[in-house]
Amino acid sequence: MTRKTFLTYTLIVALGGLSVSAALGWRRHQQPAGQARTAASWKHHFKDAKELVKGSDAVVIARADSVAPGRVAHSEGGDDSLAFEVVNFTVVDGLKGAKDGSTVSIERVSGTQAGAVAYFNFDGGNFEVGGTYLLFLKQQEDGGPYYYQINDQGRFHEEGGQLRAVDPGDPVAALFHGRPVAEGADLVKKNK
Amino acid sequence: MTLRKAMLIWTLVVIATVTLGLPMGAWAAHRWGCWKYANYNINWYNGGTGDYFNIYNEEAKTDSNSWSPYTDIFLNPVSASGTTDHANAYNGFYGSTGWLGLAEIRSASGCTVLNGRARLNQSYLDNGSYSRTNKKHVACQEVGHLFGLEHNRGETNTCMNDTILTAPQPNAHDQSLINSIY
Repeated sequence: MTRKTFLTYTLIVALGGLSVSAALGWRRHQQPAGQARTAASWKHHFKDAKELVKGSDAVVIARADSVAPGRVAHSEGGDDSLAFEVVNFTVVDGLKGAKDGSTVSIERVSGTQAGAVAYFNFDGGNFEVGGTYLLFLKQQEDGGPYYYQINDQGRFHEEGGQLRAVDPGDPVAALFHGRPVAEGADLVKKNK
Repeated sequence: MTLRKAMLIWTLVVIATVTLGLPMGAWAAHRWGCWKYANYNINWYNGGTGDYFNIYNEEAKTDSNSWSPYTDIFLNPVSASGTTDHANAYNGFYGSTGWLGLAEIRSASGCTVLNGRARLNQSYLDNGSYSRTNKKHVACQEVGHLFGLEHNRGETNTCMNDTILTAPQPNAHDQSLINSIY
């Protein structure tokens, strides 16, 4: 092999390696698919599955039944408002804090707002009515009647029998992501 | 040069480039999608009330390590919220929502942000569990999102780390990323 050929191939290998690994690094840290237009600083953040289960008031596998408009909150200055919606679920498997067949309702920032399309997908976006989810929930601390999704680690959509995380790159969400629903439920039970 | 020797060198080159490339990719990934304002000169509407007005201003403009003097961003204070090249900041009692703060790209043209909103949730932040430093951290983070940055859980000296509340300022990495965007 001539020196020139060797150097050329070395350069190709170096550039190829750099590009592929940079792309992998980018992908590993990238947000889930879809252009996120909202980001939240969550109150709770968990380091492992045990903390996540322990920190949740209810852990359920539930089916989304309906979505209804909720309250509207206003900024203290009065010139901004934020609309909410209430999503009603039937519990298919109450893993913690809720019984099978009961109803749980989650209040979340509305995915659609009067007069403007809003893109509140920091929590995983709109729930799909009829869809099944593994949810880690917290009861509203201010005495409100609803639950909220504990954070972006705490919601998994069942797709093709497998759990899909909001952010599969999160190490705790990754423990559940891609598992069959029954395995995800077992993982919750093991960490109770 | 023998093929065997060349293969050995190429293997080392691959290892070296992968070692270098993964952090490079992670660095770029702290961008929040493709969002950015049209340019570094952004209209800044501080709709905060009480001490939140001060907190927003400190994090955006007046602290020496706040977004405006520390990075290439220039914030032009305006007296009303707007929908063209505006970053609008608010606080309110939004209730038990699970979040302390929220950043929203309210409207955009392609990747160009026209109207960004930051919100601080007093229902939590005013319940006695959060220090002023914690509130500043959240304010800094929500505003940082609007400028195009994603969470960064790899460093503990930046407000873009959403797993802590004790670093109310952007760090050198944020500075360099913002300056590369604008």
